Amino acid sequence: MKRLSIVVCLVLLLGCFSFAEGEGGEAATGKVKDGYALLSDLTGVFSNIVQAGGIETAKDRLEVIIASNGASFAAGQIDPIFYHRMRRLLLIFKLIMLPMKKGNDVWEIVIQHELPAFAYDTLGKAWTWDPKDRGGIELMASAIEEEFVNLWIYLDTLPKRAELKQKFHRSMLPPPPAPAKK
Amino acid sequence: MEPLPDEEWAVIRRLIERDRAAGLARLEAAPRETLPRVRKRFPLGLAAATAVLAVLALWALLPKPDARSAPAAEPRRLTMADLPLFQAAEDPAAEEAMPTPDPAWKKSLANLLENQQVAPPAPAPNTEVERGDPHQTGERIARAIGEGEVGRFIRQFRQINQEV
Repeated sequence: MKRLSIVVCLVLLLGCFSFAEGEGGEAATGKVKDGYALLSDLTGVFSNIVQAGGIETAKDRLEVIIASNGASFAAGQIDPIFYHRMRRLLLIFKLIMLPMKKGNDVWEIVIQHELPAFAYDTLGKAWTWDPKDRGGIELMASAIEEEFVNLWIYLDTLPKRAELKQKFHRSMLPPPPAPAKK
Repeated sequence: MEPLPDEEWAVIRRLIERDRAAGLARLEAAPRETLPRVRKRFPLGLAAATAVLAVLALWALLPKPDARSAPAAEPRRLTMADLPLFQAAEDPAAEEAMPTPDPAWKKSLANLLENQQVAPPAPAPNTEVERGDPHQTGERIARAIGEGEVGRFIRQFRQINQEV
């Protein structure tokens, strides 16, 4: 009886592991890319969305970009600033794409927190979540477009930023702290 | 005490009237100079103290001789060079007295500056990096914005989510 129960437990554990692997196995694998390539990929999410299967294609593309963003950051191809802002933009896309049950979905909490914050940070305007509000959709679209432009300009001005930072650090850093006395 | 009869009151009233009329006549007949004058007495010490204070206040308000002779100069504005940090940097003696940098701090600063370099750290040799074209990326963003693709995209998903 004891042996039987141990075998049953093992079988159940193995079943759980294989189920978890199946869930995670569908995760997209990303390629290492630079910032321009990642941005260019993200603009490709919109295309052909109205065609048959366009929605699923867009979701798959987004997952690949999310994975690529992480891989590129790990490989040092994008800096933490770009990585974080790109990740936030990807989160916004993902939240927009989420299929939700009206009124009783837990994602509603995240959406009500993240989307207004994103709109306020990029445009400085308040945004409220109302699916029937056409102006709200246009405002969110403007915020995303603004962030696209911001990220593109950020990449374009990276060399100048680095120059300025080095210059400022040289002239404006306070004197170094005294070495610890032993 | 019993009240006086009316006749006696009449006598008293006449006597008062007569005295009053006589007093008024004497007052009008007397020369004006002989009337006593009422003098207000002002304390001398208080007057002296007020005068001294007034003189001191006037002296304080008057511009000083050197200030009047000197040309009016604009107030000097503080600059970064006035900060003790920069003064110490300009003064060789103070610079020598400054503590020597901590090697660990210098190393961390060097690392920080290295991180600001334009070129990203080289990936592993076997890692294939896909590079995008800045101009082409800009064109794609411009097209997405110009054709309102983002708005259309959001509306599409909103509609799907509402149907769900």
